[in-house]
Amino acid sequence: MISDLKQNTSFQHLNISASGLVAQRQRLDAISRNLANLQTTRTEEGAPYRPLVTTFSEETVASFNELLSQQQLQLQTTDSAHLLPDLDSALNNQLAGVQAQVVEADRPPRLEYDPDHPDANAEGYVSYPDINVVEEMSQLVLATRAYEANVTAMKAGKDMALKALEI
Amino acid sequence: MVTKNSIDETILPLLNRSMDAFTMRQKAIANNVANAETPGYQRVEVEFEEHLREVLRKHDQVLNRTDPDHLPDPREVENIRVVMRDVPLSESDGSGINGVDIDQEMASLAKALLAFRFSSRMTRNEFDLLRKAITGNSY
Repeated sequence: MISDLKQNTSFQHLNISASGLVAQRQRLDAISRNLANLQTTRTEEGAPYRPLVTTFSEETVASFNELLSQQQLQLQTTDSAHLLPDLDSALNNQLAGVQAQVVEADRPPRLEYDPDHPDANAEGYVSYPDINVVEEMSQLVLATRAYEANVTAMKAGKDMALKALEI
Repeated sequence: MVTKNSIDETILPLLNRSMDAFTMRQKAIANNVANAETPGYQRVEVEFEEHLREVLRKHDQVLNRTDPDHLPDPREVENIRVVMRDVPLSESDGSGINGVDIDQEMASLAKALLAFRFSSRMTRNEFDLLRKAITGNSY
């Protein structure tokens, strides 16, 4: 659905903020899962739960000019009324927000000695996922703040569009 | 003829241009905010005021502008460029993981929003004047 929205460039500024909101929500989901699985020693695969980490990457869409050059078309301004190809980068800008990837962290489990635990190994050690609650909580606050910042940016964009309608 | 005198040669084209610029700036800031935690992200910036100033300076003689605050010839508005550019990481003094300083972005956002509101209000005032001239009554 997001990719459909992206086609509609007139409200693209809202899509950018929306992508930020989606990314932060995904991160929030990952944090919640980590906290909920703090003590999970056995998942479906039998291994202890593996903590999730969220990474972000910038998303870009092909610019108008790029698409044109892909089409092997060259723009020529033969008339003074023709628009300039680089139209002040209005058609040229390729901002599309952010994308979050939630991946399993490659962290070895934390071993705790508890021979009575049903998941203890031969030496009596239980493998717990290596999740730092303090770290997760600070990530949670960060995600909330980042979400709010995206909401503010979105509100500003909406406000501008509404003001333009009042002209 | 009507459009030429009552619209093209007023402040409207300039206001129009400025609203384009501020909309684009909002977009740039939205992208910066969305990527506030993307490692190595280069923040984007919209240049408009410096290009406006340049045009003002360049066309000093043409219109006989006697004050530096005079607005440019509306026909020159096309030459005021609105440029979106990536700011290299070395130039920006951001958070350490990329070039974005969220507080700075929020301040720029507030500025862009106010500037846009100003331009749109001015545009509406211009059109109100036109409307009054056309209908002959003020409402």
